[in-house]
Amino acid sequence: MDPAADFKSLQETIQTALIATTRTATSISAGDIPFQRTLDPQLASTLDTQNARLLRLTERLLESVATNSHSTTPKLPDIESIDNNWRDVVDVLDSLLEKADTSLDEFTGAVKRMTPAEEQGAAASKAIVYPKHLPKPQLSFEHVPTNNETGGFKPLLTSKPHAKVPLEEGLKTYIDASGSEQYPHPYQVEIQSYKYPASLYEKTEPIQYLPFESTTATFVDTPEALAAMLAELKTAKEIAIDLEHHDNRSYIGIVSLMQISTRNKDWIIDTLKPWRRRLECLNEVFADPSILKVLHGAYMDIVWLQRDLGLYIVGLFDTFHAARTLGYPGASLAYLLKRFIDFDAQKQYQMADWRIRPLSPELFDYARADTHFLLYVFDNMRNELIDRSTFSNPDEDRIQTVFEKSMETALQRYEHPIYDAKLGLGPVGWYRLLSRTPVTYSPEQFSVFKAVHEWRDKIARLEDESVLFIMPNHAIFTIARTLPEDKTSIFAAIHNVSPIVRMRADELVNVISTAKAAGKDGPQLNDELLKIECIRKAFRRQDAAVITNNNTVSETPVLENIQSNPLTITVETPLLRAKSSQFWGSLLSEDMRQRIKSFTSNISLALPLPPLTAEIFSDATGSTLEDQTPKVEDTPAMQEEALAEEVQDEVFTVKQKGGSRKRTADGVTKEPAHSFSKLNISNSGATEEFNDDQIMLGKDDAPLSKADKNARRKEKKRKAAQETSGEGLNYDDTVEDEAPFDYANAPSVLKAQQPEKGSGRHGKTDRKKKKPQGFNPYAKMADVPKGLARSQRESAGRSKTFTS
Amino acid sequence: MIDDRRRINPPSGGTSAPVFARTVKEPEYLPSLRPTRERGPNDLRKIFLQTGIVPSASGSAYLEIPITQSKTTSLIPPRSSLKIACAVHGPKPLPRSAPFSPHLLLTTTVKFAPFATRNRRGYIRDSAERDLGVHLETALRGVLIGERWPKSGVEVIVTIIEGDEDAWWGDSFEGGRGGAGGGWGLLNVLAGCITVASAAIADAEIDCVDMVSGGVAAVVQDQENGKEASRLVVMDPCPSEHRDILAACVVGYLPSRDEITELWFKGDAGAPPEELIEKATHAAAASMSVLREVVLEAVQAKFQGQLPEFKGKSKRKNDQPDVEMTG
Repeated sequence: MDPAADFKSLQETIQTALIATTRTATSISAGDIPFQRTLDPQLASTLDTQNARLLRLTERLLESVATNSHSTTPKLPDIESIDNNWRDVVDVLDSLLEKADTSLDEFTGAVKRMTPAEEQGAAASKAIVYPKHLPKPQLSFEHVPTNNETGGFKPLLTSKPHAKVPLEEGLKTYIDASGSEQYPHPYQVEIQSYKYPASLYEKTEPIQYLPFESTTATFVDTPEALAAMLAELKTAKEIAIDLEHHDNRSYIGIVSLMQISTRNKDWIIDTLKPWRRRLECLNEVFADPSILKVLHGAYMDIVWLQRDLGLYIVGLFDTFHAARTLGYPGASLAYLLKRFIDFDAQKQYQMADWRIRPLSPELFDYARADTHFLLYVFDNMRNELIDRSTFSNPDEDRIQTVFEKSMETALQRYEHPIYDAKLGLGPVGWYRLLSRTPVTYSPEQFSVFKAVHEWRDKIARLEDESVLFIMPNHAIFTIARTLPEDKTSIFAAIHNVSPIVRMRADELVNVISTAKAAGKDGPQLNDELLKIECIRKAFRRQDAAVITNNNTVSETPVLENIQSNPLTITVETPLLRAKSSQFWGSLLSEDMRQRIKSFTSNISLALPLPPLTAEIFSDATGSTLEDQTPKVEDTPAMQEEALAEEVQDEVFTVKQKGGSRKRTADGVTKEPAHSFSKLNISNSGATEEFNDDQIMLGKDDAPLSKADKNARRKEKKRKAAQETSGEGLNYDDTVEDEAPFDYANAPSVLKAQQPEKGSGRHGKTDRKKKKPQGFNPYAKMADVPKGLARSQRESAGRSKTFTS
Repeated sequence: MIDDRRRINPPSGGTSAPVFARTVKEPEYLPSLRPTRERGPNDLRKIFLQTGIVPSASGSAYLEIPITQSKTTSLIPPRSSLKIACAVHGPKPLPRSAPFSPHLLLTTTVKFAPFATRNRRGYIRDSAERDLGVHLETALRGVLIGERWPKSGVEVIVTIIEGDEDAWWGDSFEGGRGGAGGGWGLLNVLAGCITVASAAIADAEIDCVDMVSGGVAAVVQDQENGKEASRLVVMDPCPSEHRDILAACVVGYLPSRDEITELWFKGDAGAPPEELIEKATHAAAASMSVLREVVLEAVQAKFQGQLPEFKGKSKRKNDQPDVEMTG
């Protein structure tokens, strides 16, 4: 039976049934059911049974649906329960719709469901167990990497096949923008003068690759096999090349495998042999302008080839750039293989440990697949490029664009990774890492970050491991943030501690603590980043200048002037001051002279009166005679001030100067005798009080009034309180302690801060928690006079006068 | 605006400058009256400054930028002449009703006299005047050592007797912008306010960390022979002298501490604006030279014959023996 026709009839039956049901339901609800129900009890009972039946049906329907999904079936005993359990009903329906959705997706092919067997296979292939610790193959090389090279990278070439410029010519060094010696690209002239063969501009039928399953690759691991391969490669018109690279357990990384394919043969070359430098003979093919080399994403491959094997490629066609130029949704090799061959590349092997020997069949096949189809892909892409190019218009000449980009890729040079501790520039520097991560560090944390980063690089070079193997990037950030002080806190901060860090933890603790101390007054993170950004810009500009000049003249880097000089006043102000006012004329100067004469230096007038306290008033009520005494006092007080005038430098207190009725000890001695009885009330010294008592006893003066006694008692109490409360009220002491105001170091407006909160151990935590509040330019907004109360509003015509 | 019912007010539109027949008859006469900047871009107008102008106030000062005599035949002065008086009252105790304040409360009032500008001002402070007051307070607050006067306040009252114009008066006849650019004169007024208030505070003997002075710089684009000239940064711009002011900046600057307490930037200076701010700072430093001279003179006059060490010596006011307030 035809499933499509079957579905159609099924759909029709369902649809008609649904339409009929819906129609009936609407017609029933149109009739006044509650009215009918009350009218006819038999109808009511029938309705009830029908209701129950429908509910049961619904329940069963939901139940049957819910068995396939994981939702719970709602129970529907009555009509109200539908409302109550509506959420559950919706859940069930949702799961149904979800299922329909996925089924539709599967049907249209947007999602591919794996059969159980496939799933198993994928899982099994992923689960290849690699030996944890392989002996480092780089240690057996004829040239063991040293990781501490400085200066320019000297090309490994010993001979230069297909040379237009002799090798010696290409090994002359030049000084680059950053001032270090560099070797030029030895094949620069050859690559730049390379002309892509005319056949690339012609559409030809793609040459079908040999079936993948029935062919195999030749594993090249002896010099003899290499020679045989080389001879065969020389006859080819185009070859496809790919590399497998390992960089986890090596500082600079090692090329572990090279795959080369011609139209009818695949080779897999073991580049971990001690004699790997002999592969340089491949330059006879790689630098041959008559053989086209097809690579995918050659950006890194070019660098790796020259770094490890001294191989250079003249005549590169990068399918990655082709895919980009054609505007494919993906540009990975896996995508291209899927698009043109429908081959599923097992890309999880890309990250496999390619140092394993012998290669497992899966790895072998993966490696072979990388280049096996590449020439066929290239054929297809070339044809498409030609189709979509208009050769008359340079902007539309897509194939030319690919050539230019490929050439650019081929012209890359390898440079030794030199660690720049100060500015952190370069691919291994800290700047790259820090500038991409938004962090806010204190100077200490910033210093620790730099130090740990440098330490990691140093250790990685020493141990010949990758920096990430030593310590992942996030671990550096964590260390810089938490500033651990001992081994255990370091291990707590970074989760997966590599054995090397575990071994050198003490060293790391030292690095952190020294950096922390050094960073106390180190540069701020943001300032430093800004500075480096400027320097980088300067370098880039210079590089651009060098490129445009196309010569390699050494120039000292011209850095931007980052710190501006402090303000120097360059204004000449010759007679800026006007001598006369047009407004005042001659009036002003006369007036001023008068005013100046009236100025007195009687400083006591400028001083405020001591505070009037309740005591003074209570005293005044005590005796009426007192009102006269101040007048009597006046003359000695003035004399005393005149005396004080002469000894200007002495520190005096307001108490002495204020002219209050409260006299000091020497004030008492000058007092006329008849005022003694009043003065003793306001005496401040205890000894004087004693003296007064004596005087009173001797003279047998009038008995003290009750008010006087009270006042004296109060005075005594007050003194006792003063003494117990300590220095708080002891003015003389505080006067001596107070330091003179330092005008030069007075806090600036912008830095006006609340005083340092807390001290000692609390101080640190406080500082961490509370960021110093910077200058808030909007604070003033709130300070604007808010307007007076309604009745006092500045009203029309009422001018404000000052009253003091 | 609230109606001012206490006075017989003139029309709120302001007074118009007299129009002389000659300007109407000879169309080329009016442009010939246009003032031009005769000083160099880095030269300031002369400043007259005098302290102790209000006897009843604890400190006061008067600032004037006199007009240079021009050869024009017109009765209307080609440029305005800034005239500002400032009185400082206090420090005085806060009223009982005021909440406790641990430091000196500063109140600034800036008021234009009704006749101060070509457009007549009201008697009640308008928003521009209040705004100037806030700016002035910002400039002064960073200078006063307020902690020395708890529970007290000081009032700085600035009266602008004549303000700087926003543009040349003739522009309104020519049908030009006529001050449409707007508010350039206010910047000059603020700079003058800062300088004069600083002098008055010094006269009132209120302790300060430094003296603050105001300075203005502007980016101008003048027309020469009918074609646009290049942009030029000038110090102390007189708005009447420039056809187009693109941006201006006023700063309150403490020269000996190298700090800025107030910055008001207006217009589009293009990039980079730092140059403009720097020029304004230079202008402030230049006006400080006048301020310093005047205050020194006043101090010397005050202590003449009373303190021997002040005779003929240029000593700062702060050098007088410290009076320790301990009561």
